[in-house]
Amino acid sequence: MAKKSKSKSRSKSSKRALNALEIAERELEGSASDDNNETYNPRRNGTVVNLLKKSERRGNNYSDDESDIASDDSFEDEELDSDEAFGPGDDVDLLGSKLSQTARDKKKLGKLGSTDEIDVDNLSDDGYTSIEEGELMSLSEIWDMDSKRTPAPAASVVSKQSNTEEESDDEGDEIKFQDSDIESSEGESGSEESSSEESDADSESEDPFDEISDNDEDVELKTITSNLMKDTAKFTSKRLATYGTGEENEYILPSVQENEGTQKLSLSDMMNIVDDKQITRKATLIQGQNEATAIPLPQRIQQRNERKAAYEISKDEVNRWSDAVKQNRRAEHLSFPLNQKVEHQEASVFTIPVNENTASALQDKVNAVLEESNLMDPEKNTTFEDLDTAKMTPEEMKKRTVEMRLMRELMFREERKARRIKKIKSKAYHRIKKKEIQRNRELAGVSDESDTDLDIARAKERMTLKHKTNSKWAKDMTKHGMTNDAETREEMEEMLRQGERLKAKIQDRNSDEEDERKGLSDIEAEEVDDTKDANMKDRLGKTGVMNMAFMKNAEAREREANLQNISNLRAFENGGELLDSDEEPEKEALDENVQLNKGRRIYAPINLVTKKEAKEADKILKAEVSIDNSTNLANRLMKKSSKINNQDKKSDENDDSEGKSKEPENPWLVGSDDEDISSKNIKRSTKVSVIDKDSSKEAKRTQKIDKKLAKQNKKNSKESNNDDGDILLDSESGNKLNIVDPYGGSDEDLGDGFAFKQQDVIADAFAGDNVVAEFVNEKKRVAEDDDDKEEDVTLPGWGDWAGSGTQQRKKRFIKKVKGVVQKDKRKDKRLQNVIINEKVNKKNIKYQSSAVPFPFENKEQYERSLRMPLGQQWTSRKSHQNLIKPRIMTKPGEVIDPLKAPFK
Amino acid sequence: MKIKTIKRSSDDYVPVKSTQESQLPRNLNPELHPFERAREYTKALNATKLERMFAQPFVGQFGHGHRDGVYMIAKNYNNLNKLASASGDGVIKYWNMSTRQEYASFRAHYGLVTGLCVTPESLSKNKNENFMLSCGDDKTVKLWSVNNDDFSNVRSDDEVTTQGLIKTFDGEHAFQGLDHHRSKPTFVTGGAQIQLWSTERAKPLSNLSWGADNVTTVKFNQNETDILASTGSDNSIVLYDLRTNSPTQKIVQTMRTNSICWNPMEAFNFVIANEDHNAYYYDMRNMSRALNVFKDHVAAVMDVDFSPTGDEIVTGSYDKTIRIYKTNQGHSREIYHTKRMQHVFQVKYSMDSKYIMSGSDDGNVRMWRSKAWERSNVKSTRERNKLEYDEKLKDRFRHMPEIRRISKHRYVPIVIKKAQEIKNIELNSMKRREMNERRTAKDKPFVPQRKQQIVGTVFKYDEKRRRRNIDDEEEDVDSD
Repeated sequence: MAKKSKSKSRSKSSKRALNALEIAERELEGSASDDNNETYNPRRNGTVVNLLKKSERRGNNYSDDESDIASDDSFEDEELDSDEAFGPGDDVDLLGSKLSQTARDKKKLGKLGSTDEIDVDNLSDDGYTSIEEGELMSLSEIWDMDSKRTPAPAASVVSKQSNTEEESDDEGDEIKFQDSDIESSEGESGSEESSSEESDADSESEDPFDEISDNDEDVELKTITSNLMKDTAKFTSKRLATYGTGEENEYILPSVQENEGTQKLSLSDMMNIVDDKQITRKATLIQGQNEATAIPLPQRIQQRNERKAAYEISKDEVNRWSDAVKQNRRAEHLSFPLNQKVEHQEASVFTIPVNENTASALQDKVNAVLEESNLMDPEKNTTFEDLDTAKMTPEEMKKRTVEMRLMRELMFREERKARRIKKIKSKAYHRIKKKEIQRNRELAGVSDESDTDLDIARAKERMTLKHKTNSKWAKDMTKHGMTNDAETREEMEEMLRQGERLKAKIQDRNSDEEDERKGLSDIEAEEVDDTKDANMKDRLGKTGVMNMAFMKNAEAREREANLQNISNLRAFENGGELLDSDEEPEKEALDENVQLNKGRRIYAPINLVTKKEAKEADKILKAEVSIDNSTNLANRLMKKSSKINNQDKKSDENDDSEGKSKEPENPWLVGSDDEDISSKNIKRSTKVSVIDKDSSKEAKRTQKIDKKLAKQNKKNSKESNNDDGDILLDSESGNKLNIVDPYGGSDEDLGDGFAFKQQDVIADAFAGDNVVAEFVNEKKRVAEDDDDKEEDVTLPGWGDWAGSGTQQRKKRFIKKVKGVVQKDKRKDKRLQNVIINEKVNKKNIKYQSSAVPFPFENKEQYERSLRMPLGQQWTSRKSHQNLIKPRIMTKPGEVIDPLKAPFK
Repeated sequence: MKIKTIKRSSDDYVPVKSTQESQLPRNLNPELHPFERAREYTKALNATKLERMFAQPFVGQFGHGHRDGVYMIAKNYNNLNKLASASGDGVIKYWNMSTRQEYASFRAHYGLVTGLCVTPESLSKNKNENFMLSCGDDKTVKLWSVNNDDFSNVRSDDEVTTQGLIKTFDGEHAFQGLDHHRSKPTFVTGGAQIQLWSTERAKPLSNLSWGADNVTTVKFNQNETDILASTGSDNSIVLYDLRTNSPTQKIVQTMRTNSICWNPMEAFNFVIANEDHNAYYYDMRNMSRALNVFKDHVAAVMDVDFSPTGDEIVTGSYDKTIRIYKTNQGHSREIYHTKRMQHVFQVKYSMDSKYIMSGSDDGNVRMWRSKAWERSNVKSTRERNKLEYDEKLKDRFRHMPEIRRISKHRYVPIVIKKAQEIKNIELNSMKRREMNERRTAKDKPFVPQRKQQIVGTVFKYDEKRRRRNIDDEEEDVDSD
């Protein structure tokens, strides 16, 4: 009972949901006229729709119709109505489906016939989901079964005909068939008629789900046929006994075996009767294939199979579109109409005909007249004779071709040469080449550079200040000791050289630039050449200015100075230090003077100043070098070691390459670089160094030194050490914690130094910090701050009487200020180690999406979709245009045709 | 080193022609354009507000309308500005959509006109010739020539005219629904039987009926032109294939289907308008489930039509509203209604997807914009760019609470609002009840929303394949 009420209420609510509009209208209008509901709608109510099945529909409980009819009544009445309208339990009928209709009919029938209701119930419960193809049995199969069981009286020759008969009789009334001879005779003539009748009947009786009810029908059919079979088993024997007794005619065959009714009538039996030999010969041909053709399926089942096949075909056909559809779905932009026709310009009155040949008759006529009157200019086509070449003599022609060939050849060579030169990468070569070209130009009298180029070059020089070492960059470089770097050094040298050149230019000294580029060896070679020259000069003669004594002296001095310079440079180049210029100041000064003034000595204050400057510069340079050396760990260590045992001094000094290799060993640099450490097998944090077997000699050496130092210190401080030997903390040797590999080989004195435990160190470091208590306090404070507050807003004396004898009023004005969250409702109330900030910035809510919207799967994805701004301010014009391009574009005023088949 | 100089030549920014817009130099330095997302959000918000300000969906009504309710509208698939409509009193009107005046108006049938379609252009000899097919309750199908001169002297709609009538096909029963093949000169009529006709013959070519019930509407596929679908009064949807000349598949739903429309861009998908307030989107290859369910109406959906671009559908409902849905969303993006519009029986998209025509019980044919805020005037490049930019911004920030609120807000008639409330309450209570039942009966099968409306299909679908197909579809939907 409860179940029923439940289903009833559900149907009620579904009905209410479906009739929501009507109910709403009724509720809203109330007293107002119900005119909308009254309007009778022929289309809507479906009475006009169903002309053929009007009567049937009347009984149909179609919910909408129902409600329309019921809408005249009051609301409550309608409810009552709906409850009464359909009996309990059959909610399915609400929807008035055909299926339920048939089910109901069945039910009715069942009640009438007082058959068991179980069958009907099964039907309604299972619907047609429970039917399987395999369970079904075609009519023909049943008949086959039948024929197997019961001895077929009819001969196989007749079987085909009789089969059609069998089919035409829907219920397959065997008895009737077998005794009605006349009917069987009608078989041929009436087969067409009957089949058409049958199809009609079929179409009439056909139910949308006739396939479904097949099951039941089959069951019924089976029982019927089985019943019949029992009967026929009796009948056939009886009847066959009397079968052949009648007169033999074309309809009735004589029974050969009158005694055994079960035996079949074979073809040979019949053939025996025939006398004509020719016919028998022909007939024997048939004998081989005397099997009966397969019985066609019942039309209904056949049709169903056909439909299924047709459905498969149409599905396949339609599947061919899927690629095109998918492509369109995934397309970023679709411009409709999709495949627009190419519009060809058709010829009209306004279009000018392109083809000249199509002249009109009038034009022809006019032309003819013009020609006749010699008014037309006879326009000749250019022939070979008209060309220039044709007028030339053969010699000239030959000459010209040779000329042309030469030119072409030269051009080709030039081109190849240019290509080859272009391929050469050597800068020196190009420089020489450039110079050569310049020289050639000068020779040719062409101004080598335009004014603007010169200007630009000058400006560049001025701007770049490439010629001085006192530029900001250069200063920085020297300051930070980057002069060690080969590149920077080279650059600075380049600068100086540039400055030199510039100076030369300014002083208008026409020095050959090639000198600048010469190496030392070149200069030496030159020197040798010079001596040779001198010899040559000696040989040439003793007259002339150059041979005068003072000139010679000057020259000799110069040479000497040069040699000195060269030797200095050599020394420098071989790794030696710059020779102290202080060692021979006079010589240098002299040198300078001689160089500048060609034999005349001038003592000028400027000269002194420059000298001073040069000295200072040298000092700076030296200082730099010393700083560089000191930064080198190795050097530093060497210094230390040198203090203790004065050895190994030479090898490390000023050795650039070695210095470089040691540079990363600087403890301040090494600490962060892990890879380097591992590769070198020396583990070093800023203060920890691990040394084992594989570490380099030098490292071991330094380690040794350190240890010695430690020993000394130990002796001094006399402090005991009792920790395990592996971890040592040497407090006085620059606070270095040395983790020494016990397998380190020859290293001894492992028990040196004293050590701390890590925890103790940390505890010491954070001594006096009561973090936990602070946190608890903070949490409490936050909770109080966020809590609701009470404020006393009483104004003292306000509203009171003044004077003696007045009573103090007790009333206080308290205002409650709502906080963020109440103390006991905090989220972090039970979480001891957490403070959750529950302040919500209301202004931010506006910009927050409550959840990740549908197509996106997570927050990051959604945020990524918002990241790139679209506007013109943030992107280039082109990408902006691309970004704002809509997905679907339509052209105004164009018909959008449906998708064309891409495969047709 | 670079030298930066200020150089401004007038050639760069002074337009050459008076019509040209002066170029605005802009600096792309990001420091000058901070807060990009905040600024774009504000722009999107403003664009959304402007959209709602400019939303004026109703364009106008056609002429003076019909005397009776408009129960049939047929669009000309090849012509933008022609439309045919038929009413309950048997009158057919042929409209010029640009002037919204009628070309022709004549009484075609006794009683209701139940089917109407404009024949394809390819069958007429020249472009301006128009033919039309109509069927009615008077058991006839009539072929009309609707050129202007044919109806120049028809003034009264009182009698059934013979002017312009080319041919009459007599049937044995009243017709219901009519559609013409897209390219061949054949058409299909519904009614007690579904019949295939050729325009050359007086008798139907074949009878495609499956089952004995009435066929209420028929519709040809516009891509795979030999496939058609029909709906029956037995709540069924039947597919047919003319190449094999047989029905192919049939499904039965819980309630009757009022209309069908095939997707013009996806040959195998179609949408149906159902009595249960929903429209359903089906794939003809697998009809065991709907691809999508379009909800929101509060009364039976009477008609549905696809936009020619295939990405939107429009539905007209008995609740006197028109709704527009995107095919990949379940709820409507737009609702149209006017005070005087009664139950909507017909809705059609115009062939350029810009307008929607509706025919309703009150006898008027109305024209709406498919995008309420869009205007069809010629726009300058700058304006167009701005609008496109706005569209993108709106789309990008559509999930932001404020923007969503503004863009979704619609005034609906109070009746609809009330009905929505009632429906929601009832549906929720049903849902709750089912949940309670499931608590006790664990084995109760769960039926997804997309299958609930289906009573059964004749030919079953392979379970495994179906699952794969579903996955495919979902992937597709997601990709959209």
